[in-house]
Amino acid sequence: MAERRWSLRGLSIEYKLPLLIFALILTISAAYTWASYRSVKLSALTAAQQRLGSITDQLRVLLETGTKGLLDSLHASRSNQAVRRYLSTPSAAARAATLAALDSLGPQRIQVVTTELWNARRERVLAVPKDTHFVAALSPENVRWAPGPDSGAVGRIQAIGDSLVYPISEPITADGQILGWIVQWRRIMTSERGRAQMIQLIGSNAALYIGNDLGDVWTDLLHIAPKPPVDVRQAQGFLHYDRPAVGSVMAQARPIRGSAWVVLIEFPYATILAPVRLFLRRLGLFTGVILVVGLGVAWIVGRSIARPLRQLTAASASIAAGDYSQPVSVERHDELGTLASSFNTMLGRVRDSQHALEEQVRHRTAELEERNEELEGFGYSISHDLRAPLRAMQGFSQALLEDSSDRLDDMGKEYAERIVAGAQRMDQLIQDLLAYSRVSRAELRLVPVPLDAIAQSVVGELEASLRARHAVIRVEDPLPVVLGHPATLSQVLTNLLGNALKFVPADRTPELRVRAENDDGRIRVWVEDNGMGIAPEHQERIFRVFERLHSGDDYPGTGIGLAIVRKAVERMGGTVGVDSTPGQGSRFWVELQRVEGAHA
Amino acid sequence: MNPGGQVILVVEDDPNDLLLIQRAFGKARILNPLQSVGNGDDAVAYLAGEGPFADRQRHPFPVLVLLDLKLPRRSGLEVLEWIRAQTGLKRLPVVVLTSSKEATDVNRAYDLGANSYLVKPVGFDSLLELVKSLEVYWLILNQKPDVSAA
Repeated sequence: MAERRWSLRGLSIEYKLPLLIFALILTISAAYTWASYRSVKLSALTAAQQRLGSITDQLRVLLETGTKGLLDSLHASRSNQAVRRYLSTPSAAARAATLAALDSLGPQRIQVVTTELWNARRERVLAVPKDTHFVAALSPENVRWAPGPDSGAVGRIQAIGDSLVYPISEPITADGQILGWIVQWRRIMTSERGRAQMIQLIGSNAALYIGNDLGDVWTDLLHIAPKPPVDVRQAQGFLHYDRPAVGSVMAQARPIRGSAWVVLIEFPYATILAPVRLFLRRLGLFTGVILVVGLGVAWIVGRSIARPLRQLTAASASIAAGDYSQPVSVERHDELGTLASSFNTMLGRVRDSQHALEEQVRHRTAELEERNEELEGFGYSISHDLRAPLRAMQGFSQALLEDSSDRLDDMGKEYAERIVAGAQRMDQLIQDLLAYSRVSRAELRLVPVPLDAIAQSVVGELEASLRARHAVIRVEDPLPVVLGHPATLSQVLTNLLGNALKFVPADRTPELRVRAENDDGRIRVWVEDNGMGIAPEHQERIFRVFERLHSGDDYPGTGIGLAIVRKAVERMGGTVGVDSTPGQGSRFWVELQRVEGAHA
Repeated sequence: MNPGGQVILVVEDDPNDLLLIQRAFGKARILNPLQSVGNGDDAVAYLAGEGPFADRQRHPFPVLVLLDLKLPRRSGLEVLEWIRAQTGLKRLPVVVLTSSKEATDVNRAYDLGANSYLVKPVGFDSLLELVKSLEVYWLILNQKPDVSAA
């Protein structure tokens, strides 16, 4: 069996309307959400970029100022006579004064790893304090040499163990000539708190990194930091990459003038887009509320449409079932109310015309009954009045033959005999016609009839005729119980057997057989003979009124017997027919309804 | 048997049928005298001993009525109904002898108290047989009830 396919068409309005509105709201919300999400995201990104740009610039400026301050701290050495002297002529006395001068240079001395004096040929001549192990690790190529005599420079950051150190250099000049350089290596020592304050100042969960212009060393101002996955020095504008443990970030890098440093600020996208997500969540909640409200409203509206429609449907169904007493009560003034009132008007009309029709039918029935009564009266008259003259004709002809035969010659006697025979035939004709009209008109109440009993009584009635022809009759019992009218069934069987008996040639012993077949709820009763049979072209004709295949002299009869059989069987809801082989016999059959529970 | 007293009343409007019945009675050598009336009103008058039938010497009270159903003025069924309504007549044997085979007629006649219902045969031989059995059954075998004229 094929599955019934689900379709929207078959769905009740009560559910269809909410569904459609749900779909509509969902579509609009989705479109609106997508559009707003895009614009909100775009503006969030733009704002983040602006902020990132401006903060990066500010930090750059801040750091530039900071490095300048560091370099300024070395300024005192430029005018230190001991240092100048030592550079022009290194002597033991000058050395001690120079070392002292170098040792006192710079603010936050705790950050100072070492302060060195280099000559004009860029050779280190002095260092203080002289921690050989640490100083040996310092790479002189990290030192940036200022381009002019008036400015110092900050060199590259170098990682030594856990420490991050960087050099700052300041030229020592005399009359525009560079005599040598003061190079100070400093450790990056930012306090945890200071860094946190700075990060907080920047906001947006930002990350701040400072690295070398070569991109080899990076620090978050506390520790060595992993390198960013892109070469920030080459990048113009904003960068996008993934930072492990942070995720996707937006970043901007700026070189710090007067140094070999680059400042890098990263904004995590998670933070940038947090408001967008919040917005999205709120929008989702809002959409959900609208959906629920919309669904509820649509359901109520759908119900208010569907309910009167259902009432109309129920009313239609009850009309279809023949109940016209159920008007639709829809107290509304909209289209549905109009429909309901039109429906009620229609109902009234239908009811009226139904009544009119019933009245007409009653009238016609009465008329028909009257006609039927007339017809019955007619039949009564025929049976009574028409036969009276027949009796006279017959009776007096016979009286003539009996009482006055001595005065009649042979011809007179023959004429009188012909009158007797004619009257008898006419009487038979009238009786058969009456039987035919009775079987056509009579009200036949069908009841279960045992065919056995019917056959038995019919055979009993026909006993005299059967004996006269020395006929052999076989009734194959048990015969089943059928639905029929007992008297009419008797008539059918009588006519069929009488017919069978009549059409067996005189020189043949009639062999008759009655049997029944059960065929899927129908019973077929066969009446078989070994008579002359009926040619196929006549097999339908014989069931019509007055149809005869033989003259009255050979086989007397009225031609109504089989017509009565057919009419009677049809009135009992059955069918009748014949199988026959000319010269060998006929098999008449009657098909009737079987009675359930009764067995053949 | 007392032929003089055992009168049979034939209620029959058709003179042909009456003649045939009389002939059949003669042929069957039934000695009971036949009295006949041609319509329902006369039948009632005869049984009641009224009008022209007041003289019981000339019109003796019958022991059996042969009643046709289709009669002028008052039908056979009405006559039957009237007979059964009379205290003195309700036991009078009434045999319906008519040409109608209709089940309604048969049932109605028995409902109204007919003692027997016979159909007039067309053949005279059959009529003769019928009359003979009528005599044997109703006039010889049958025990007659007490009936008195009203």
